[in-house]
Amino acid sequence: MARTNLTFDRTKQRALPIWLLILAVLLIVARIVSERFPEKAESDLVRWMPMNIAMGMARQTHRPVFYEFSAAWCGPCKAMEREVFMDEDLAAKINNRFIAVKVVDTQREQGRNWPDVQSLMDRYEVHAFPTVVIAGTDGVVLDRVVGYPGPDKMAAMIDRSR
Amino acid sequence: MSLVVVLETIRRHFAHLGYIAVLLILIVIVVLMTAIGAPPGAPYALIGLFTLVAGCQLIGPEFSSGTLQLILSKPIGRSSYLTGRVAGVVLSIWVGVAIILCSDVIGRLIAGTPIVWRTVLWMALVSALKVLLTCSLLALFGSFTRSYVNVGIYLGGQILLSGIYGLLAIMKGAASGEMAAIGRLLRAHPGILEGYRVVESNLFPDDPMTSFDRNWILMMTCNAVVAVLLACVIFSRREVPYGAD
Repeated sequence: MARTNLTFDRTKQRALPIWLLILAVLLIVARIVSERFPEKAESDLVRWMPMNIAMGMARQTHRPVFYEFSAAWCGPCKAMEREVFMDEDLAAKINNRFIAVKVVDTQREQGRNWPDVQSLMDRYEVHAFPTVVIAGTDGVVLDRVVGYPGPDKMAAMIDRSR
Repeated sequence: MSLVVVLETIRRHFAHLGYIAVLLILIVIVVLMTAIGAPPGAPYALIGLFTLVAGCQLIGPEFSSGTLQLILSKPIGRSSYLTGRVAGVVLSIWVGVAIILCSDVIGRLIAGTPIVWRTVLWMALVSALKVLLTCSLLALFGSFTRSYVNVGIYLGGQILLSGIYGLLAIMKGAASGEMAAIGRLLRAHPGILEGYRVVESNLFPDDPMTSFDRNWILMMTCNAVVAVLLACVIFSRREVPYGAD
């Protein structure tokens, strides 16, 4: 009798939690459904210009160029997008005072960069992401920030480069 | 899940001098970081190390020290024990996340820095979900090894997966030389690199692109639950559960 109880207990002791199994299945289904119906992407409020026409526009409008060098895998770049480029006031300042250009590095994903991206990165000696470079109409660097220093310091940078 | 195991795990953390010291250090560091104007998400970087230290003994110490028999009046299932331990460790670390959140807000109020609630709360949620996934993976790796080795597998896996991905990405661009054949293969079958990236990003996810990203939240929760489930499957079939010995 005692032996039977022991066998029963050991089997019960190794039983899998059904609630966890059900939860896992529900979450997998929810994940599949959610990915089929993606949320509308919250895009940033900065009007990014193509890099090939940016310098021409800067000369025409006498406004400096605001280069943001980033990469898809870069966490601080995403934080900067959320806190600076999605902020209405900061985005409006960038749009009014600069010609904004987003330069995305693809070295890690594709093994190389597009030649015009690489040339800009070499020219402004970009070795870390994010890097923000504010360049005059002649291409000379007026200000630069390496790394994401937070929204307050970015706001200060935008204000002093007017 | 056993409530006794959850409560005992939390009690053990709060009775540990090191845990209390870490919480106090967290408060000081976060206030200092806020005072020097660190970005909103920066203080949460401290939680990563805290999670690894707290999670390394996720499975184990009760077996080797014999306290499992003391805290439980009757035998419980192995899965109940394991899920209880994961929940207890996760809740104990979430206390650290809550302390960082409060210190960050108080520091900003004192320094007079504006508080962007959406960002502050999102950063705390991201950190909490990362803790959940990390602890679940440590439980999974610990279910077939022993204490401390699980952290080794976790860190080694993170470095290796990321390194191999970088190497494959470089090989993909190779047009000549010894890597050309691999490059051709990777270019002809882009699914290989994409599949690898999916595995890497599910085990060690990047930070989400947008605030309150529904898909990211679901991915973290789902992966954590699946990891704990797999840990239960492996742990329940182990002949002799051993731990910190």
